[in-house]
Amino acid sequence: MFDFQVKLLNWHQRVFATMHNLIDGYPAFGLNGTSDKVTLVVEYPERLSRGLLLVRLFFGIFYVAIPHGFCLFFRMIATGFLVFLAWWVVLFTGSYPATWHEFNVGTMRWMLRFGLYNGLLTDTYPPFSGRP
Amino acid sequence: MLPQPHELTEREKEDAMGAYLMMFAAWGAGFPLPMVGLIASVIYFYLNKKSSPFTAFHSYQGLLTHIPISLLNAAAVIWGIVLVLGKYSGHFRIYAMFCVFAGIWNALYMVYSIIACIKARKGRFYYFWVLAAFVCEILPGAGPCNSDKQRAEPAAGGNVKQPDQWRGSSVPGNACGPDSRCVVRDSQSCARSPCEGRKRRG
Repeated sequence: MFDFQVKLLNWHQRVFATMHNLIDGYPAFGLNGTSDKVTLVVEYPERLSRGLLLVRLFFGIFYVAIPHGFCLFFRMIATGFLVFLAWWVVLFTGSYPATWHEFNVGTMRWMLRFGLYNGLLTDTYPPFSGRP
Repeated sequence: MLPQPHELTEREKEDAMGAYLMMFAAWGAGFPLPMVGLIASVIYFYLNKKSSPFTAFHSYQGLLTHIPISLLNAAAVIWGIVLVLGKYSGHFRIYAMFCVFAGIWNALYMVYSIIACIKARKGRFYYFWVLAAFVCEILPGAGPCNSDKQRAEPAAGGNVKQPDQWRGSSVPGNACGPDSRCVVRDSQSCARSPCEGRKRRG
């Protein structure tokens, strides 16, 4: 089940990155598809805290969703602008500005970590940043 | 010894910053149910209390700052409910004044939390007035509470007093010793260190 979820997320990330022009080419179909440009590695947790599971269920919205959601809201607005502008930049120059790319990938990474924590795939609280 | 900004990992700084971002939980869900924001801070503290001293210090300070605000907001909400239900309707003016008072405290809380958030992100300690002393009492190993010399001394007005070692040396009281080193990355801050001044005079 864990592998299935990770593979599904991998697929989703490939499509997401392609749709936002972060990578070139066509995303591989299927759960076993791979990409040399987008890779998601999630360490399998041998044990997950049962107490934390309950805390996440009842209070997750307050200590995870709202604080991260607040930051991500503004970051996603900025990312939306950059994706739009980058489309034009790529159209005219053929290259994606490196800093914009890093920022947009960071947003993607942040959202993914947030999803992994809420999806019970990890016990590690997501950091408030999109750094690798 | 206090961890210097360059010795902290990015993750530690981000986790410390996150402690103050819990205020959004207090506001997002806090006004109708003020204690919910406090619960978010308690959980965040328990998640981070065994991590680095820097993160633990900020998490605990973030939790302590939530308590008075949560109590104030809870009082405002309960009083408002009582007024709406029709009892004590003659006290509306006092209630309005209380709401203004609570609003001012909330605004101050927001400003100081944002400042603390930025400082924590930069890897610096930030001491809230009075509260830092409590942090040192309860978490003696955390951050600036390692020794008596490094004990947090909140400045007047509830603002920051940076320990000397942030400015020029990692050795308290021996800022210009032979092994002193500039611990602040930007050259402007380093130039302000007492060692630099003496070297120039010498």
